[in-house]
Amino acid sequence: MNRAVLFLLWTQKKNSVREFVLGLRHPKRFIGALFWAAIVAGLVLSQMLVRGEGRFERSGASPLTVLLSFLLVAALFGGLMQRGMTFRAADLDFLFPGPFERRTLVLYRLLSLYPISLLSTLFLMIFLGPRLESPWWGLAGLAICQLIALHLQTISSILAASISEKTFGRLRTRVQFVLLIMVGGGLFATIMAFGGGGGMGADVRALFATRTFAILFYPATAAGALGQAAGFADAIGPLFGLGAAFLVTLWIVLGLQVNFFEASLESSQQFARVMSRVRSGVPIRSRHSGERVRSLRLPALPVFRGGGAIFWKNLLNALRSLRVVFFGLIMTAVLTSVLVGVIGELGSHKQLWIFGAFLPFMLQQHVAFDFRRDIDCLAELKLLPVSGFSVAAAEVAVPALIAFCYQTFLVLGAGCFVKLPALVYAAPIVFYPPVTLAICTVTNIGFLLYPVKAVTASGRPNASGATLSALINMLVLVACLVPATAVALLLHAVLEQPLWTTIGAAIATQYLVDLAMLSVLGRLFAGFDVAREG
Amino acid sequence: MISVENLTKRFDGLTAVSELSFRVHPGEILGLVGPNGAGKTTTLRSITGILKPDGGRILVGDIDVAARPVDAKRLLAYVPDTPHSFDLLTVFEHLRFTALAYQVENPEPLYEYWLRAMELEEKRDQLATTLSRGMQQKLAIACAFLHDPRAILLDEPLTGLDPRGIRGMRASIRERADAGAAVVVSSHQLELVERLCDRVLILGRGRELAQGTLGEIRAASRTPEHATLEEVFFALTETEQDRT
Repeated sequence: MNRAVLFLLWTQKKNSVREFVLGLRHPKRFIGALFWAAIVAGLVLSQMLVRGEGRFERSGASPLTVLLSFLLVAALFGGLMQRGMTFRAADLDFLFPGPFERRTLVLYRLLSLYPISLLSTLFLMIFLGPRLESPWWGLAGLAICQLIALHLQTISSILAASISEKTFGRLRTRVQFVLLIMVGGGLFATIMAFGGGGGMGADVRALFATRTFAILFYPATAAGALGQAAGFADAIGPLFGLGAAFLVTLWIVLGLQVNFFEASLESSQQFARVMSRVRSGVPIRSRHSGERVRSLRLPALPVFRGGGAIFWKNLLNALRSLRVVFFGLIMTAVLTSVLVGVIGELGSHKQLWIFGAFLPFMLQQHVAFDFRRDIDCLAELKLLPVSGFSVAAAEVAVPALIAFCYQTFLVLGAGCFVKLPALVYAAPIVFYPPVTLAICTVTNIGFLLYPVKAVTASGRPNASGATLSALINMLVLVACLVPATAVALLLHAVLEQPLWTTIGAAIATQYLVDLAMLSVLGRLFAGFDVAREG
Repeated sequence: MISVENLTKRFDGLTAVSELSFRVHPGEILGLVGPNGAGKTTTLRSITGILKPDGGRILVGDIDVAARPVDAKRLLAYVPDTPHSFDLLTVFEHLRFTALAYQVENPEPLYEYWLRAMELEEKRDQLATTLSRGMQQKLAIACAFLHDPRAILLDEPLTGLDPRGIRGMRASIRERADAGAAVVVSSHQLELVERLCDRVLILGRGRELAQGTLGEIRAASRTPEHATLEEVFFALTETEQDRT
């Protein structure tokens, strides 16, 4: 291994720890870190309490095997979609023109990514550990399997770099389609396998226990076996196999004779753009620069005049980012399947009510065709002869509309599998819109108040700032829902008014709160200093 | 020192550079100019070996970049138009990393020299990303010059620098050339190119429009004897546009 690259890896890790510790002096970062520590501690404690309960079934393959098989396939396809390894901007500037062998750069990138893989392993183990026969062996298996997945992803990304740009462009959509189906199917299979008991879950576990699957997904099978190992004698075989698989995949990845520089340049720049926007809290642009689309005329309807033009612009944005919107729909489908399971088990549909109402909060990245996407053109929006309130209303309209589609899909989707009362079907039209409007408005207020910087002054991603921002948004949202809840309680429990009067009054109250919040958003937009870094 | 023979590079069917040939001798500074999309950055990236040419051959100090990229890169330094620094390395650590990468012997005096030359002494223990754009540019150039490269490729080297920085940078580039390096400077600042470069290569749509000393390209473009590079540039590029 090259001394310069070792120095680079070591110094970056050392400085990142130092920066993190020093950063805790700032209250914002401290609270963010505390928040995350509390979440992790809470998760660990809750899982410790259920230790022993809900152990994985011993019949068929372990659910861990099913999950890891899914991860291995996702890694292979993910690498293929990536085409070339992704490096950071500084790596491109310093390492690519530098006197380094290609395999040195591959090893450097792998070593930079190993800690992230191991960290995600620890996070997964919080949930999986208590359900495994042998958590420590399981941890080892999961960790090695994750590293093998990283190798596979790298292998497929390097091999994809040898495909010409033109051919890759032609294949991209098809591979994405296959990937989407596999993600959906894989998630479904994993959820079923984790469900335990008989039925479809047992069938999935039996399928993954067959010889073909065991060979095809050997690392996953071995990791699953490690998790169920009763002792050292049971563990040594799978552990040895996993170690060998790790070394073989590493040998392959370092031995590939493909010039990935050019493809990596493109994929790294694309990745950097995406990461920068994600860290800024700005949604991902789904289209590539230079991609041509047909220009559309603004419809000659009065509704599209003034603030309506902004609504139309955002609507176009959403239509041209169908991939982002569609992915949100897939997430909704996955969440629906989980909810169907919960409703089936508990026999109550309360979870659906609450879940549906707060769905837009969970899918913010997929509905955010609002101020967050317009952060680069706020100055232009401010020049429009439209009141702040109109701009605010126009900006939250498209997210609310997309959220309505997701919520309708959720309710109708759940209704296909479980029997729901007629009132639930009215929820997306009657009950959810005022809550959705509150969610979209509060998120935008949060964004204008605290436009999360892409990086902090020290150049580090502002993860704690983003956490804090999400936390504050959540608190403000709860506060916004208090008046309507209070009205409902007062009318129903104290004044004993009929149910429909109570519901009507609560909805009207929520709309009034929404109007007030929209007015606040409009004022914030009017007073927003466009010189602030987005 | 740098020899580019019939370089051709295509992206997705679009020809970015076509049959381009030029040489840069030790001690010489070549100015690479052309409108946006002319193929300047593609040419520089091809010389560094980052881009794989679709045709032609590139030699750096008699070493074929395609055949022995690592050996060629040892002789090279490349500063991109917008240099990025490692966000978790200090200014000094960037220099140390570069010295290790290029196996510079006895680098300590060089660290001090380049920190002083690029006015980075006070920032030496600061994380590089806390620097202004101009200072980051200076850091990138300090790292590029540290290992005494024999071939230097600079893409818009003066972007973000203040007037004092520009003067210092011009002097540094000239100093490297006088020390025997072959330098290629890509820039839109035609006045700088005219003052700094020994020869100029004007590109248009990936093709060579003119190459030579200012006097030679004046003659080729049939512009007056005292025409500036800017006048020659517009005469050539507008003729090219009219032709297409």
